[in-house]
Amino acid sequence: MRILVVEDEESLALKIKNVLEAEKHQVEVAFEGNDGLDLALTEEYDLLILDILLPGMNGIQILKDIRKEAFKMPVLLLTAKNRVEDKVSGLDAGADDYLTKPFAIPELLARVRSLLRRASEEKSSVLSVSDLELNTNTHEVKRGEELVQLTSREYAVLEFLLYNKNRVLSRLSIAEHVWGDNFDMFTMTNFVDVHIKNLRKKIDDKRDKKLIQTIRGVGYIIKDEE
Amino acid sequence: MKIRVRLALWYFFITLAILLAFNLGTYLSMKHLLLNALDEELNIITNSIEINYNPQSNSFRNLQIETYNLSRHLKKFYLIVYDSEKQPVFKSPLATIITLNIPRPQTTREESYTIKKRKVEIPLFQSNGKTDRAETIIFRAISRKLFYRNQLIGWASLAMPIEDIEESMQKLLKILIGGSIFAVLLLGVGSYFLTRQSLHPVSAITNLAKKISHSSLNERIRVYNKEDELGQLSIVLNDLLERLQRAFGTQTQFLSDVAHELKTPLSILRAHWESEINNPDLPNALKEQCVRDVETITRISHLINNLLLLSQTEEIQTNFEMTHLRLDELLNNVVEDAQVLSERKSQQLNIIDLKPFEIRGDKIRLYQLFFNLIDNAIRYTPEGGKIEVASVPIDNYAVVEVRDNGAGIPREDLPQIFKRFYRVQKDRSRKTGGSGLGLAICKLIVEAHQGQIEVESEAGKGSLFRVKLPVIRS
Repeated sequence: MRILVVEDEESLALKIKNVLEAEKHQVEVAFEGNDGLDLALTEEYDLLILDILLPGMNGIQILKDIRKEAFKMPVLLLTAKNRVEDKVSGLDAGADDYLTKPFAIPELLARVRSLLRRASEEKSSVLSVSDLELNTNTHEVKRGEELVQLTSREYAVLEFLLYNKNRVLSRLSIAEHVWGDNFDMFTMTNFVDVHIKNLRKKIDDKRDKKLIQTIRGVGYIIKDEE
Repeated sequence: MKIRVRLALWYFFITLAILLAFNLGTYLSMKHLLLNALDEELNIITNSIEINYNPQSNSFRNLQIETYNLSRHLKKFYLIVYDSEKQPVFKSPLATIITLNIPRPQTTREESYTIKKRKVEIPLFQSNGKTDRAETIIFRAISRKLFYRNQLIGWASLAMPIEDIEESMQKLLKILIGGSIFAVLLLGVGSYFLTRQSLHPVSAITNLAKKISHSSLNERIRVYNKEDELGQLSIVLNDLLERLQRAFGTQTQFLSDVAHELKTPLSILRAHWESEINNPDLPNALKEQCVRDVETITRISHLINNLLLLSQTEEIQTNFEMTHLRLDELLNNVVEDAQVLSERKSQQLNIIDLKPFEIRGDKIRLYQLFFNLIDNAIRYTPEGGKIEVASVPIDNYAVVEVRDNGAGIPREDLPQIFKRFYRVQKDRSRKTGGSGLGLAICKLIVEAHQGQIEVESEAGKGSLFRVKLPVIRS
């Protein structure tokens, strides 16, 4: 997939490029608003990642111009401001999602995957690893042929793990994704441990192949192969 | 007392005092003038009696004629002339009917006069055709020694009824009293309206100032008259508001800029460290350090968010996304999440009463609020303790109570706990404490929802946090 990142902070822009390229995407970067708009209007991209505060032209304006030209690709806004009005004006201008700095890389990847998946509708809405399947439309979870009943929190944790398949997730980034970022660190990491424990009981207990693995002191990972 | 009332009263009483003094003066000097004129007349009559003394016969000539001539018009004329032997030698007709005890003059050559009142028992005569209904008749009297060539020849007691004067004085008094009452009424109403009128801009200023809070600094006082004192005051106040608004605006902008400038490098740091977690070339020990660093970075950004939230009080609403929501559902979710924490400490976390409420609020912030309260209760309650959550209606409010039987809060700490960076027990360990902003943010969230938060606690017995939020009437 071709992705355009418009972000004036060079180091951050390149990090995002790196991470996305590791996911086998083709990524181009623009550091200024005007350049970003030119690229977006002339090249074909499957996804745009737009910072709001940019030199030259701000992200909201770029977004409006793109939508005016009837470009329909999904747009993910990045911003350092977390005021409701900024969020609202971004979504009104036609953004598909919104991420507040500083964000977690796994969170960014999950959002990107979700946006790309939504854009290409013919693709199935099933996330899977090994014989575990999670349907993002029906919220059904299966291990093999067996239906697994999860609470809404457990479902959210599993979905996030699956969006970041084969990638180690820190407890913090899982917690932020599921519960939001308004909580105490200690509380959040506790939450994650408890829910992972419960998830394991439901999907890994009495199975030879354990899907959720603990990386001591770092976090959790869900993997295809041992 | 309000200035307006005080001013009105001052106006009123000062004008009233001037009015009364003026009326009293008019009355007294009028009376004095009239009596003086009468005395003069009586004195002239006495003079004419004295002139008509005949030393040969030791009698008064033409006494009868003289007196009647002189005071023809005065029918109620009272006269007794005494000779030097103190024997009355002449009495006017009136003097034969009644007796006025006019004292003998004591000083030589000097007239002395007094006013006598007498009840007249006999209906005397008709005056001017109308019946005299007065029960008393007031006389003006003089009594004077009479001399002939410096030799005392006797004295005269002379009196005249002064009902005309009395009547005039009564009329004058009536006019003055009536006029005064009218003037007092007019004065009262006048001073009320006068002060109200002149102080009207002041109350306008006061009303506006009351309305102006940090959220409405763009309002200005209307200037009625640039020249007068109140106009000047309004201009000065408007100027002050202008500067205040600018200061608030600059501060907000500054904070927002600072936050933005701080968050951008933090997001770079976080992105770098976080992606290192998946670097296969990195030893696990370093990855662990990466995770801890990311947590530290996140803590800083939480702190920035909270500080921003706590300092942007003037536009608090812009940080909140208000929607209609079910408070009971939200509380259920919070308690469900918090159960994870309470189970670890073998505590009982129970909902004891949960009435369905619909309120208007920010879902995420309210979640944060109630989670904070329950999380606090879990932290400060020992293993095996009990935490209860209830939500009941009182008036138009949903009252949510979080009660624990834990450590409680010492009495001296209670007034402080909603303050920023305050922590009970002086305990700043990361295990039990957060940043010390938790309850300050709780209070802010409650206030942004037009609610109230209060706490009851007893050290060693537990705490009760009570949040009141306005409900939507269905």
